[in-house]
Amino acid sequence: VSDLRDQLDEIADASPAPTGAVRDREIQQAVTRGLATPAREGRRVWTWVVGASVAAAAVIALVVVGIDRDGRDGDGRGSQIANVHDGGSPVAIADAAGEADRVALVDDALVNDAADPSRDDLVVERGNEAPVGALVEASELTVLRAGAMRVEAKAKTKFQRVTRDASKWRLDEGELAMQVSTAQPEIALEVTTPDARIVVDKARLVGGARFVIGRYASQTVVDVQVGEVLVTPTDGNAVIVHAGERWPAEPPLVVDAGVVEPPKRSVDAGVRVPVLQFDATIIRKTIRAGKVGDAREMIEAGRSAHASSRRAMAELGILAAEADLAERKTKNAIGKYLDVVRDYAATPQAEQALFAAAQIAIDRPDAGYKAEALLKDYIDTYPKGQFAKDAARLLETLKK
Amino acid sequence: LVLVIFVRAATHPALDSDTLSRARTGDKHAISTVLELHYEQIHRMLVHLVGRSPDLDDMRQQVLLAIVQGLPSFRADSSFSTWIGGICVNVAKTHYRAKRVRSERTIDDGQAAIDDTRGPDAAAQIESRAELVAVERALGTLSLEQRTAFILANVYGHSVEEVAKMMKSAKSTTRLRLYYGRKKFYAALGRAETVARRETEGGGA
Repeated sequence: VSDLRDQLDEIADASPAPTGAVRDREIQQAVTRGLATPAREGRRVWTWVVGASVAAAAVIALVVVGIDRDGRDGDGRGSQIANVHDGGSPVAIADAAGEADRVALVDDALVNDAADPSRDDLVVERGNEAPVGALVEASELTVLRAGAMRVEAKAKTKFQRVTRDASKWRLDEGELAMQVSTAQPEIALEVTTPDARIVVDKARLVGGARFVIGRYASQTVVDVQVGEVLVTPTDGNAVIVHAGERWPAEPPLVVDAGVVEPPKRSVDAGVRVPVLQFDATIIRKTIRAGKVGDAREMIEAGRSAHASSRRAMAELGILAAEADLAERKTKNAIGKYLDVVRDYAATPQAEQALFAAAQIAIDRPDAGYKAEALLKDYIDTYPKGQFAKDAARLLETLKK
Repeated sequence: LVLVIFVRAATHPALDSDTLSRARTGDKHAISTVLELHYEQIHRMLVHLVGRSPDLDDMRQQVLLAIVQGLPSFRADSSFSTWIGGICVNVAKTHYRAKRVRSERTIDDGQAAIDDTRGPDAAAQIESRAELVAVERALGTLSLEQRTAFILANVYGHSVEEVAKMMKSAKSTTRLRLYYGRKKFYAALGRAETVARRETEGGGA
């Protein structure tokens, strides 16, 4: 047994845990996220209480309202779909699940939130029964709302709401813009396309999520504008796509003439976030796998594609510093972090870079940078920054 | 050098009951200290449970997050390390189920996963040791439940009761997993050692 323990330790030693700035950042991220989304205590008890309440309410509803065995209400209408007409032919279809408030929401969304506000002549009427799970092809912009979720399907989009609670969707073709707010913390969202599964993990849902899933020429593309989304391709490993990033990093090369065009980002036109053509997660994984040369090539490719985006350039600067760190070029790494601070001071990455530089300077005083000065600089520049307390604590320790 | 040692010592104190209490009440610094102190343990345990997977970084992040979220509800009816071990087991289980790693854990795929994560030095270090290759391959033949029970009992020295608690299963089930896990492991180890030795000798020739 002791031999086995030693052997497993040797195997573990061959895959060491990250150290230094990478480790510290990982811990800080976990603390920040964990405190922002604490686990719900007594969840099991509440689940039982809520479940029992719902069951009791359902029984009362059956008795009082008199729903018959077919699940139809007192008027015998059953589940219905809302057809939105524009002087004749339907322009949008939304599953209303037979609930009047849902129809009203669709109406409200289309009339008040549609890209073209002049189209106030839209009429919403109840149409045929449409059970959850029907494949819908939107003829024009279709807006659906379910709880804290808002979904927009562009014209020619073939999609399906798989579950009644709108937590699962299927996208066959076209483009779905999805927005999930934190107003409903239990929300979990999953969209399946023929070649990928896209999940909004409620554990990661801090500040909501907004993203566009497109399926063009049999390829899925995910653009995340706010929050984080987990993408699992059917033939590969899961990747976390962060705000401002796209998956896959490269857009599809072939586009069929007959299908919807690649994303033009017409949804939420007022709050556009530039889409990055590189995947920071993949670059970090490449660095950690020891393929620093490959990572540098990816960084340079990103720089060529994003010379005009300060935020992207700042992130690429940080990645370049991390590549140097992986090769133990500490001095160069600190220099690159400070380049980010100097050149892209207005970006969120500058704060991160300055603190990282200070941390490395503490660990490696031989690199020639004064850790105290860097920490003071951080505290002066970001007195309420996410690492302000840590910086103050480190500075105090250094002074002792 | 003295300064570095001093800073490290000051920022990484031993976990005491006061730090743990403050961490449970949401003190950010105390939580960071707790995570820092158990970081290596978490990483090592994940490597033991799932092998050297490219997803180790994601899994470690999930464990850290779960610890921060679960600290307020931590009841000291087991040791803190055991509690963290339970979280690692849960994350590993979820990971396996989500990705169906189970079906990928054949000997060949296991080898591919190793190549993805290690540096060239680490690769050489492992491959030059036939017995390590054999151990990895033998562990790869176990189901996740068998492997988890086997590792927790034989490497971490937990009792059957503790393993059952960490895996949220019955003691009788845990005993069976341990029994079949050990049997399968040592049977596979015999075969794997022969194969690994042959490959090492063949590579050296």
